[in-house]
Amino acid sequence: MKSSGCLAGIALVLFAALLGSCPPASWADNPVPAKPVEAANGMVASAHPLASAVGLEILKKGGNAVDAAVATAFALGVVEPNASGLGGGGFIVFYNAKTKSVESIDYREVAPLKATPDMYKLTPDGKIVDNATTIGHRAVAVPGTLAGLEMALKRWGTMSLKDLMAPSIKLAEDGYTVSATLNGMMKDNFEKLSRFPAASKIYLKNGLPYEDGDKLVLKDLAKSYRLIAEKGSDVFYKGEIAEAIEKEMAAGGGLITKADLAAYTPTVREPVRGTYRGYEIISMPPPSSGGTHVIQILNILEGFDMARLGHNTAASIHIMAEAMKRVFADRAKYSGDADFVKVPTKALLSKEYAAESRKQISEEKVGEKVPAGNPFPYQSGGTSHSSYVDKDGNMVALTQTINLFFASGVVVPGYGIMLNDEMDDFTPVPGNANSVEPRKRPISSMSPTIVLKDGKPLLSVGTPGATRIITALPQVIMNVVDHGMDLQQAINAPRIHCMTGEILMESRVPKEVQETLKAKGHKVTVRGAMDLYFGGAQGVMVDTKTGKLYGGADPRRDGFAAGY
Amino acid sequence: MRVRWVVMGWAAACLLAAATASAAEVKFAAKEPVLLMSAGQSADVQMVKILLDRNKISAKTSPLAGPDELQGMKTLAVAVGGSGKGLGAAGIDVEKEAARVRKVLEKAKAMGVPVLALMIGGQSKRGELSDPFITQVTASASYLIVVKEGDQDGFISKAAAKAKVPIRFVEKISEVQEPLKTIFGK
Repeated sequence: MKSSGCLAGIALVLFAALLGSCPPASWADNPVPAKPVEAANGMVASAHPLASAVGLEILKKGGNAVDAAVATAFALGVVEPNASGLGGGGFIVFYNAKTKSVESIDYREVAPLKATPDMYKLTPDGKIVDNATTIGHRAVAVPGTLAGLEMALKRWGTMSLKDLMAPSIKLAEDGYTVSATLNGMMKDNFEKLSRFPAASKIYLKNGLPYEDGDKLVLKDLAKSYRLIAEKGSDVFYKGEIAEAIEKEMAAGGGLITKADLAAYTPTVREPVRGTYRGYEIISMPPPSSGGTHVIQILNILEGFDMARLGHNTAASIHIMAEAMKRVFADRAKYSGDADFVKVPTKALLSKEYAAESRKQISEEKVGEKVPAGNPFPYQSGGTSHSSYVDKDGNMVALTQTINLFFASGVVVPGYGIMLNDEMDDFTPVPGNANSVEPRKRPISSMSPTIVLKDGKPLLSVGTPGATRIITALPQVIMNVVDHGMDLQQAINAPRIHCMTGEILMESRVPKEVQETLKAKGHKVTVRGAMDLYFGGAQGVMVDTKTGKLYGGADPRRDGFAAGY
Repeated sequence: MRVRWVVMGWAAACLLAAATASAAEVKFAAKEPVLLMSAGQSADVQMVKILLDRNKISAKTSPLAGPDELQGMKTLAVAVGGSGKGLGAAGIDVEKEAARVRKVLEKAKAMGVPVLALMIGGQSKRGELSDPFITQVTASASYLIVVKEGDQDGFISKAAAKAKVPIRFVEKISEVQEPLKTIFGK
């Protein structure tokens, strides 16, 4: 009795104390913004507040959207090291306000010269022996990030590489606070990080993951950034860093040599284009399958009255899922590096082909399983997207990656560069459009996308999330076009994903909708409420009447929009 | 209105946590050697191993331990956290993992081996995959060590209260070292 009275007293005191320190009402790791950020002159939306701040600083100094994009990309390599960086690759789409044209640069990684279609051993049940495509030295493809960003800067930017890298050097040297998101990534990839001493040294603190609130300093990466800022990209592709990469590869049984690095070049490509209810959708062409298939999904859905069907109703989700299944079946069969294989992009983008696919869709019945062709491995979204618009109306969509979170786990010792595991995006057996070949780019789902309205830039948007990129972006675009949402609402809204039949969805999709879909015959898997499985879309939008700028950021990652 | 209910819910969870935390001051002593296993196959088991090693606690780490491995062991430590990747790498599905865990817990009970459950994954190790393992292991545990961030909704506290198991909350994974030291008398 005495002890329970004491207990109650302690509890009351604790209750009073705790009341003053109670967490916010939302259980989400990150606060969910209700409204987009508004600004008049420039806007940056990226996956981390510190990276967005770097981009904004560049815009305020007079840099254009491309300058901001390049600076932010380097910053993301510091503050989101699990998702992109020097050791990876990416794509950038640029709307040039002066010429009113849209261009893109492909800086996807390429297979090393010594790579062969049968370089990976499979078990009898089709698994990759030793996870060699995702972990370790043989998983690494030749990085393209630095070359791609440099090309973008030379073609479209106004500032120097040195000036644009300076904020990131400071970030890496001074360190930054680890977020709950990054902590979660480190915990999820603890085994990978533990396995490689160079990675452990940087990303583990006394052998354990850095915790939310800890300070992470990246001195070796800062050193690499300084070398590049001072000596240019040649130090990475031909000089000291190239030597270090080659040495590490040789030590670990990897294939990349200095010759591979010296031979790497990014490629300017004509973007893919489509329309959706009068809006022009412009995105990445092959080797990204993403742009083509985002437009393909929208083409199919354009034939349904999505506004009437409603947002995330059972009827609209059913239609979306049926469209997605058909598109992924095509992706499995046809997508690859168009420099090596014939990809029927025009046909896939055509309204006629969409009409044919649409005929197979019943609003009442669940379609029979559409053959997937060659299966692709399940992937997590170790990728980062950022969007930009400047005071002159230039707009950038940039998505870059190192593939899976913390990629291969291989860090170049002394240089802090986490090397990609992009080889996993190839089909690991010979005879497929996406099989390994020397210097070939593996297919990607990355879809940095620009939307025009009446020829004027309206929206830059993109997301990480592997194959969920292809399904998330049509939903964000339809949320704006069909459902009248503002950019932040469009990003926040619950998402679904479907590839071959099973519909995965965030738990915020109403329960009755979930039950109706199950009753219809769909297999439904419900994930978290605000689940980063479904990507981390970051976007900027322009009110084409008033010129006001809006930034939307995804709380599923540490997304942050900043404008001035 | 909604905010008020959420805050009240949190306050109730805090009270519950405070009550069980107080109960955690009840002495729980464990002995070596320890069999360390996983329930859910997340990487948390490797982190617990590091913490045991730091305290020089004699432990055999066997993430997929079977009941027979309890022979000669004085404590069963279970790192609770579900991981699709971990289950896949182990070649085991959720149902088989739950069955394995159940068998080991039953054997531990039959042998009188106390179960020390560690839930150190925080919020990232909560959800559809992990929560059933939390419930399962808590029901058989003698003591829980929990990183507080993983119990924001009071789920673990409620499970512990139901099973009448004391909890020690810590803020960070690194802080688990101290209660382990105390528990094992190091």
